[in-house]
Amino acid sequence: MSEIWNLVIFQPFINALLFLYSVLGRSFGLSIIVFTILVRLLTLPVTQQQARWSKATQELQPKIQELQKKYKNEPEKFTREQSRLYKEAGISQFGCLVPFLIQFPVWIGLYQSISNVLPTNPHQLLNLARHIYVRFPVLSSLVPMDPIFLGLNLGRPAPVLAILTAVTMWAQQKMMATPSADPQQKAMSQSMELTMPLMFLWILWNTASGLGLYFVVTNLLGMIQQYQVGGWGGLATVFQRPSIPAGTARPKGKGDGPKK
Amino acid sequence: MKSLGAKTVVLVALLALTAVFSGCAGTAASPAWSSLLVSGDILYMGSESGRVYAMYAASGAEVWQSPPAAEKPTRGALYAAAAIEDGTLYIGSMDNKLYALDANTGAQRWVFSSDDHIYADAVVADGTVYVASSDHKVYALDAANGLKKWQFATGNWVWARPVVVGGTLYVGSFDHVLYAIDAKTGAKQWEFGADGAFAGSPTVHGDTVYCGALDSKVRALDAKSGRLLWEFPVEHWVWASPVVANGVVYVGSLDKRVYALDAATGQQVWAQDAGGMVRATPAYADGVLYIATESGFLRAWNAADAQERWSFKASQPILTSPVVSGDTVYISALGDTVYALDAQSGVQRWTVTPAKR
Repeated sequence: MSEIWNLVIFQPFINALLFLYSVLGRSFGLSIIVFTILVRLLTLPVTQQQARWSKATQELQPKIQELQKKYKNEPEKFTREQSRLYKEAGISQFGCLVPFLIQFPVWIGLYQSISNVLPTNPHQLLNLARHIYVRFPVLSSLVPMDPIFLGLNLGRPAPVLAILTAVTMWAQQKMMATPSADPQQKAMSQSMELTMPLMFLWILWNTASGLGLYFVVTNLLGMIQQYQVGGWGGLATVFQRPSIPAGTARPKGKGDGPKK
Repeated sequence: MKSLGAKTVVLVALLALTAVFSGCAGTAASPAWSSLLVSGDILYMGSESGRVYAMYAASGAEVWQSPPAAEKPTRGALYAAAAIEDGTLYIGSMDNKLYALDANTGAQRWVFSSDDHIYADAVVADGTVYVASSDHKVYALDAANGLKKWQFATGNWVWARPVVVGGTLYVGSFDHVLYAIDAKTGAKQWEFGADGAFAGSPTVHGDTVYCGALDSKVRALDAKSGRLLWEFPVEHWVWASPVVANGVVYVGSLDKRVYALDAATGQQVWAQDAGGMVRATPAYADGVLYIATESGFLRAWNAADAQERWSFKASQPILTSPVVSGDTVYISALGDTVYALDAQSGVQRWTVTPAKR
């Protein structure tokens, strides 16, 4: 299993990062940014599907709120009707999972790659030796890579990138959030919106900041993509006056972006 | 409920991700490998925990450990082999420091701090300790008190042991350059640039410097001028130092092979598969090469024709050089386990993991 992982994910990632480093003026930061863009392009069909799913569920909310009023005292019936509504609209409630699960091995592979492509001790260097494509001498000539990008050592933790990751992740989730009138779902969604960024903040606080750079770039690209499909979404409500209840806020659409 | 199910999957996945990123999956583990030194009837080794152990070479029984067992170790992990001179042991640590210890008791005499990890073995010559650091510098220190005599800055980490011969210090750096430096003043005499980093030490034999690099080449340079005499390409990085005996250069590579090259011309005499990456410098004694591999084997080969006399399999990879003393060959496997083997037969005499005594 580990051999397949190395062959399909780990080794290609390590060598792709080295190759990009060699053609991008020996900047590891730029190589991570371009790598991120390439990954986003490769996963565009699924992330686009995720963005559309998010918009579709947002648009369905007024109907769900009606259902909730109608079946105020019949929660089981409400759940059934809600499922039927989703089914009729052709929306799978697991639709957001596919992009997440596809990106999952990318995150782990990238974490391993950044840890190994920037060795800071002999053991890590030996590990790099196991996975570098030595038949391309130019890759070996790049070792060790310069880890400095905009004054940050991408091989070591950088709190600023951890914070930026958490903020951009929260903002992206807010854009994709489905306003729900169901208190249980609402509480769960709000909890998730905070849990994920906080978890990543904690992880990246102690991890090579190159991974943080990947997350910041991928989150920003995700926000741009989401904006194209569904506007600011739930993020717009964050800055609205508290007198407007979030649950009754009009779902934002494509036309809700900045006006010219 | 479906929505809760999807979120549960995300949460479980996140927890798994956290476990991986936190190192639970072992991806971030970087254990140190500890090197050996035999002096007289005592064997010295560093350890991953930062303790230095002295044990009887004949039995593995403990002489001392530093700091003593009752005290918590405070030093960083020790990759480097110790150097010994006039009853003092010198050893570099991952906590950026070089420690001078009493070789008889383990008591600390002095400490020198560099600005980054020290992986390189120290070397002592004429009352001076030379040590290189990941802070890019090579330091010359007074062996008596650790005061700095001079420092020489390279362009990147230096993980290799400096070699001092005839008043000149030779050291390779990760800036892809091998330097020849005046051992007294620290002034540069010459430099040689390669297409890959120098992770291992050069070997000086007569008027020639032999070195391997991460550009997968073995080279011979003129020791006086740094002029290239010959180079030999192999199929992976050369991290181990070359060993020279009877006009032949023996060198191990991460391509899992050991090469015997004519010292004068660089022509291949033989090349033999060792069955695992050869990171450590082979040991040579009485016509026999002792080769340690990352796959955990120690192999004894006839230096003349690479014919195997015996092999020994340790429980863990062997990434540090075997040490031959008398009729015994000592190895340290990953996890700080020491083996003493009969040099003639490979039969195990004793083994000990000092931290688990």
